[in-house]
Amino acid sequence: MAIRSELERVALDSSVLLGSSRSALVAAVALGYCEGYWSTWIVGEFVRRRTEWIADRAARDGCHRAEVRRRLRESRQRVNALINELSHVLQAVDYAAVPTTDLGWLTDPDDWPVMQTALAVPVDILVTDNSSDFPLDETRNGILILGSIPFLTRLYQRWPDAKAAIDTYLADGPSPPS
Amino acid sequence: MVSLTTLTTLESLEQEMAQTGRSIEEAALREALGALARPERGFLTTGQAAERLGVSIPTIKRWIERGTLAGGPVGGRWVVAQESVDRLGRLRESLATLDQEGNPSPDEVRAIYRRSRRSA
Repeated sequence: MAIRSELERVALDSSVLLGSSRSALVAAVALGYCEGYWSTWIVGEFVRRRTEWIADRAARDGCHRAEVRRRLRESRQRVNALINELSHVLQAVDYAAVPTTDLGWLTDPDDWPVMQTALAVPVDILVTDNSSDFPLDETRNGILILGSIPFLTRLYQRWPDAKAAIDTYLADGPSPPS
Repeated sequence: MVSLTTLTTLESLEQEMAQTGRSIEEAALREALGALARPERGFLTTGQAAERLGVSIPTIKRWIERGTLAGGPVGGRWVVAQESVDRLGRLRESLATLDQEGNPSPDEVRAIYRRSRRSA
């Protein structure tokens, strides 16, 4: 049985909530293989970037304006439903209380709230797939920065039963009663 | 709704009664436990939880031991708090719904963040 103090604390950036590793990462937290953290900034970024991606995809598909609106509305409902459930799994922290004085290595100030979120806990690992702005596989401000796949690989090595448990959980199963 | 703490407290009392030879009280507490640890009171058997989540009973027991689900052995059988089962089910449902809608590929994710940097 995992003891809470053995669990690594991880901050999930909007980029990993956006991509296809999202389900495995969230399941890892929900099933108790690590502690997950986020902030209102990360939630906002996730919603904004997901919305932009849905709109871009609709434009690429040549959708008319009404169809774009329909896709955006439906997607937003799905995202809101997920955020509601995630709020029971990921712990929100007050990133704004963390000073930004040591974050000069992040050239874009829009990335500071991500690192502030990680430092507010502080977490052991920041999981991000934003390789343009964050130095993956490096430690900054005492926090290891990993991409989603290397993080999951590390998690599966640390907890040998984790992959099977996550796969079992995410496999199709009966829906719960509403 | 009955809490898991109430059930474990009743079970401790039942064991205490058994150890001190108070068989009438022990039987009454066992009967109360049986009546309380039921779906209409917010508790499921491991079999019911396994069916709802589409996993095996050993998996449910492992998740209880990990603290993923609220539950444990009560009155000689394992019970699971229905709310924790439903919550795990709802989370999986909402993850699957978004996955079915589609996700940006790893290359697209990289491009989205590169693009925002250029436009900053």
